[in-house]
Amino acid sequence: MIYQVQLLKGLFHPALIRYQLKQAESVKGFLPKVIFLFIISILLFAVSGLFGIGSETISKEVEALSAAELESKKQLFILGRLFAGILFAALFLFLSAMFFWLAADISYIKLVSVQMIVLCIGLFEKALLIPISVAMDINKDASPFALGVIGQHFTSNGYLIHFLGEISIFQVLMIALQYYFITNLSNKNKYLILGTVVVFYLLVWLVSAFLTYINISVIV
Amino acid sequence: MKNWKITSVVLPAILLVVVNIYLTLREDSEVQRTVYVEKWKKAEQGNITESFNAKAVIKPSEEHYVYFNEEDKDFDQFLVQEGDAVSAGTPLFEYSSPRLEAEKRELEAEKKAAEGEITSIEEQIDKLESYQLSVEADQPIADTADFMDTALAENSVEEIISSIEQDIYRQEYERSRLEQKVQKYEAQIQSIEEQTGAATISSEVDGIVKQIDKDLGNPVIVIASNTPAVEGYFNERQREKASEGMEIKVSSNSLKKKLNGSIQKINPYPLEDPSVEKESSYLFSGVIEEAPDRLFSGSKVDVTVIVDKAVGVPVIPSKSVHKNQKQEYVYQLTSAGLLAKRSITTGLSFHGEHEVKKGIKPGNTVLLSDAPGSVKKAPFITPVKSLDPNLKTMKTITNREKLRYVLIGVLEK
Repeated sequence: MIYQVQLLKGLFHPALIRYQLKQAESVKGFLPKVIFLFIISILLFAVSGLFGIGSETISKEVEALSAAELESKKQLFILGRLFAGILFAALFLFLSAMFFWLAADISYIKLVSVQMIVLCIGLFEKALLIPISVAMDINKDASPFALGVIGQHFTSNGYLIHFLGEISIFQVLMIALQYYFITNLSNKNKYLILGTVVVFYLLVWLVSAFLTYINISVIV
Repeated sequence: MKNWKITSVVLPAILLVVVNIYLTLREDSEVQRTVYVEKWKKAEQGNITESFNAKAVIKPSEEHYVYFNEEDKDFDQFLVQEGDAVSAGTPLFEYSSPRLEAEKRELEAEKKAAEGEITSIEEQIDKLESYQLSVEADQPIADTADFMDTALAENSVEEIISSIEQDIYRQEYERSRLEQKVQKYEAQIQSIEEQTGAATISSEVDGIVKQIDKDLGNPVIVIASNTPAVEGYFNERQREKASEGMEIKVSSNSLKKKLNGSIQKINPYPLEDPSVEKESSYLFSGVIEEAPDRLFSGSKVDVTVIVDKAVGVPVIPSKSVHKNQKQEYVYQLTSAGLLAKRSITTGLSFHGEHEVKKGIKPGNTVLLSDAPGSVKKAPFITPVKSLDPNLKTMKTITNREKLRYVLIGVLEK
């Protein structure tokens, strides 16, 4: 049978989709949904940038710069955010699928389809954080969904706090959903799959925290 | 079964969220914040002027009254008319004093009489002196036979001479007495002449003759001086703020620019009897420094009273000033890139602006949007205000810098 890519159904009726996916020989409706997800991702990152979220290093110069100069730099920042939107979707969909494809022997395209469903949760978390950051005057380290806030009370290590801030309720949900789909699709040991998924996300968090930690000015 | 499972997952999740939110938003939170700064403004060097407006009318500033004392004087004629322009020294009217004239004539007559007497006395003295001389000359040289007769004759001649001399002295005494009298009359005549010397009264100021009372009721002449002034009314609130000496600016449709002036006088009592229902009006008057051409008495003008002025001080919008009990403070966006709570001392405020006496300098940036509750010092973000690319400014950013900013956008730092 042919699996029709359905994202929402995948989120709320995962059992059904899991079954369909397992049985399917080919996947239909792939490209439009992929493009759709890319657009959503780019939009979210753009909106986040328009609010200035993440622009601390630029906004810091508000006293020294004229309004025109500040806005120009922020416009470049927005451009970067657009790239980030593309990168985020691309890496999440294709790179992680490749990782799992190596770990579990499932067709690549089926894995990407799974990633697409899981990505929805990731994008939802990002969308939620926009109004919360603005309203509560916080950044990602203090997300109410993650362990960053608690971490700040126990350590002052910047990197560790960034890392703990990556571990959120939604990320755990994503791990769960990821595991749910992949174990079913693959015939490998379920603990192996779980380990792989967790390791993958840990890597993601470590790298992501690192990227937040480094100072661009040092490099460029 | 499944419900229990779901609850056991959902509940801790909700708990975590609630705890996180509490820890973040509480008063002494240690959580690192990034404040969302929506509006901000740089403090500028400027002026704050507290003022209010009142309506007024142009009036001549001073009226000079000229009086005429009728006693001992007769009014002759006015030398000016209503509306004439006069300057200091212009004669205004003439008068004469008939009684004094009469006195003077009397004294002159008496003086003349006395002088006449003196003349006749002098004639008398002359006669006596010449008689004296003739008597002395007539004295013969006696021979010895008539010794007794000569002696007798000598005695009688001496007697005559001495009586003549006595007469002369008496006449001279009389003469000097009369001379003194003449001097006295002369002095009196002189003093009368001095009094009647001013036969005209002149104006003491420059101005326009405003009013002449032809019936000679005092003041007979009212002169309005040239310096224009304004007169108007303050209501109670304005009266409280205004004080004598305050700077004012006068403007009207017929004036090209505003005129400077100052408040000269404010009536402490209201125009009408004080009443609870009615608003009290207090008369005020002010002077204008330069008199422009096109300002007529009676023209209506607007007066702006400058209550207080702070010149060349740092000025920030009043919205950025917050108050906690006694202490005023702002949130400054520092050059270190932090939003910091800064205590300040403010001065004059008016029209949505505040003067800063201490704490903020011109060029410092202050937060204009809502204050972030418990934050004392934190980094901040600003939203994008305009997506319109400014090519001129873009050119000033080096390519390397451009790359840097794009990378910041990619990595969100």
